[in-house]
Amino acid sequence: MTAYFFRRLLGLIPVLFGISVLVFSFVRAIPGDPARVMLGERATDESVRQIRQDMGLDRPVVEQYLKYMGGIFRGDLGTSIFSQIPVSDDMKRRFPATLELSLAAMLFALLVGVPLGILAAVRRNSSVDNIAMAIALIGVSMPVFWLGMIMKYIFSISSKVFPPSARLDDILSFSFVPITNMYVLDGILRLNPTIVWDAMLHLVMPAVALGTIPMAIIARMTRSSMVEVLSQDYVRTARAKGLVQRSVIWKHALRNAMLPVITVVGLSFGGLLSGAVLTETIFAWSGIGSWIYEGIFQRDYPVIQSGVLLVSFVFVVVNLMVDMSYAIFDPRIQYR
Amino acid sequence: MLATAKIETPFSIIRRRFRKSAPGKVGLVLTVLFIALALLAPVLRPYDASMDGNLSEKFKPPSLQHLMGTDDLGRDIAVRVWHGAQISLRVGVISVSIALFIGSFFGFLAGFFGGWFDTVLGWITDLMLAFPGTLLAIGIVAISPKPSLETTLLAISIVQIPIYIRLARGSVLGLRDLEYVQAANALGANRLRVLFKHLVPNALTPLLVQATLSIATATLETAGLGFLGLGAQPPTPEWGTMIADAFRGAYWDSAPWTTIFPGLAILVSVLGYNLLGDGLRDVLDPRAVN
Repeated sequence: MTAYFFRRLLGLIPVLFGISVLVFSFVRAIPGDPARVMLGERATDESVRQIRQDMGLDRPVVEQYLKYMGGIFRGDLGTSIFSQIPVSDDMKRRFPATLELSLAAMLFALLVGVPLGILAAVRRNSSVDNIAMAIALIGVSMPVFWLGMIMKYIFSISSKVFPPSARLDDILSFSFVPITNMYVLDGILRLNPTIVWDAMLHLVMPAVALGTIPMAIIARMTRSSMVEVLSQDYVRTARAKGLVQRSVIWKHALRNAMLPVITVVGLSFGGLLSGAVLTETIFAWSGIGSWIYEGIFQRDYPVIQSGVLLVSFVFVVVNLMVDMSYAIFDPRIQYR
Repeated sequence: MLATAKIETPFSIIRRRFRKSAPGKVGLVLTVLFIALALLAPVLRPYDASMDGNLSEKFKPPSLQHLMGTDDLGRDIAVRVWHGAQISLRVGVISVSIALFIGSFFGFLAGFFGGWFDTVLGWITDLMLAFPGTLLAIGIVAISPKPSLETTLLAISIVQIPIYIRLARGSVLGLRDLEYVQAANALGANRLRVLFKHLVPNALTPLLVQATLSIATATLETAGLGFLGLGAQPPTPEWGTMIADAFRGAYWDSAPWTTIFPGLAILVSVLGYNLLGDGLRDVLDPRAVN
């Protein structure tokens, strides 16, 4: 199995190389000259040329690519054209924000989706099943940004249950020094319950909005997988020997029904990362999604490049982990 | 006495199964209703949905006169949502048709002939699927000179092509070695004839189910891109763009009807496609029936 893992890891290299070439050429193809955007409409051709030279934009594309890739391995991702801040600084601040949001969204999706799916499978063809699957179907059909706005209207404007946007209260964030930039975790590390509570309050609505689609997909997957497992002989045996329903479902059936669900969780993770573009815009969550989005409008090459690369790398790696997890969770599968 | 045997044609089997599928029926009704509304929009309310407004009537809440209220320019939201149905339907159907046609064409060839073509195509599909879909669509829209409905349409179909390549390839691979195909080969049929006459018709089912579900995704993505300002531009009555107008103009909270109704339209139409897709899958794939 170790050999299999190793081979899969090696197989990542050409994919990551392909992604980096594609992203790099994509970003070059965005119309509009960043030097011109940076200096404004009235800049002289002379100064535009000067800036292009400073940024290395006048060099051949292959040279620019090699230089950029060389930089990545040294931890240098260039400087944002717009803010003049090193891209890696921004990324260290924003990636944990998106990661925190995605993890919270996935937690919501699992906590709601799995029980909903189990319930529907156990009470198959009953009204409970119908209601659960109707919820799931509405979930997959939901425009996430709209759901976010409706929640914001109900829970922040009409009633003040949750804060409408940002990641922390203004007053709190003024004096708070983050460690990992995942605020809930940072609050715990700093032993500051006020921060933990406030960060969690800010997290609820964006996480629910972002997690709705994966929740629905997980619920549907859990149901169909459970239905199949529950009809198998070993489950009948378990019932025949007099085990109680709870034990049959949680101990015997669920473990085998979870395998397809793991796949769905992994695949949804990429959806979470790109769905974050919409969710982060609605809730003013300063993560990777809103970063890429702003980058596109400002023609900020280094930002778009690094942001998209990061998201696709994470996506590919998570998918690989899902594949590998089969080897661990399903002992029937042999890998050589 | 002579028993009159009822002869079942494949079509009558499908019809009988479909009648038993509750989600399929609801989905069909929703989708047909939605298509009818879209087609009738320019006939029954021949207003210009982008321009016809009355500034003295702006921000009116829903009433008998304006069923869904009016927006910041005093335009009737019901009329705009109605016309938006046409835009949504057009983008969904055209983008999915392009993806279905191109993707399955290459997928069929790759699955049937294999070899280097299959390898290269596999590599390209893997690479395209290595990007999260929405991100890829945003990227494609970003390199177009000006965001518009047409670039949205193109971006959405490009993103979906690899899905159809995989599906088509997979279903041809599953059929390629069956006896009837071998028989056709043995009779000396032309290779392309075997592919398009004998394999493709039998491989179409999963593609058609996927296409219905893809229209749902396409509708959501069109709205998402519109909301980000990367799709249709105002004053086009595209649903996502309408919501974006309300959000950016900061009047969505004081006049929530400007947001609620376009969003409901997205939700209901996508729900219709998804139900129909589920129903079709139940009908066309007998193994999927409970």
